[in-house]
Amino acid sequence: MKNLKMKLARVEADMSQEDLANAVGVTRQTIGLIEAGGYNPTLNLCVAICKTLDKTLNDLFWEEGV
Amino acid sequence: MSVIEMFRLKNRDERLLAETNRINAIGFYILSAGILLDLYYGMSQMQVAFMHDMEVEVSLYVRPLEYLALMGAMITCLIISIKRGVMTNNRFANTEHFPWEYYLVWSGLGALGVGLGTALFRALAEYRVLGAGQVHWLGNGALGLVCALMVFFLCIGAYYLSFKIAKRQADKQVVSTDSE
Repeated sequence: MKNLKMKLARVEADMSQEDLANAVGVTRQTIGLIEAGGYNPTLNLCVAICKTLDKTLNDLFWEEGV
Repeated sequence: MSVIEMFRLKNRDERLLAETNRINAIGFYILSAGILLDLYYGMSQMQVAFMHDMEVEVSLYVRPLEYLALMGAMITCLIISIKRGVMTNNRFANTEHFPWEYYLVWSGLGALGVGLGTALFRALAEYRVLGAGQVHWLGNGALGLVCALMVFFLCIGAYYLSFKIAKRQADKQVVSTDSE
């Protein structure tokens, strides 16, 4: 499932996939895959992304009705 | 960034790590199976030659280093798995009692593979070393059956022992935070 919330938060933070990838220590492809729904990140990576984008886990990774 | 610093970097992409682990596992299985088949065939040829007081080509000998490397890899994986309390990664990973049916099936499959492999490799070795008319299918079948039975009971024993030790290790890893 695509993670549009994360993509939106990243754009709001004025960050490219490359910037976010560098900030959390992964490759740009991994960020792209998370946003496209092609990879399920570990909790550690979710937390790192949330901290970088100044969001909570609920903001980015919780889906109602799933 | 210096070369030393480059190798000291701790941040590794978890997805790439998981992918490379999966890819390496495929290579490990193919390599192990290949070496195992090669060794088994070599042993069969040496046995056939020995039984008939014949010399066997040096290229067909079982190579001790190859054997030690395979055994070393398998035993290392087994010891690390058991020490970390990991026996399997499916729904039987956290059972209280030894799942007999599950391991009976695996032991049966292992025994079947070894039985068929023994009979076929022995026949192939006889064909190669002695010639087409010297293949003893009945005898090879009997040998395969005996090997299959031995492997079956060995597997069940090894699975049971490994499960018990792994379970003990896994129980040690349980960290209760209820009282905090």
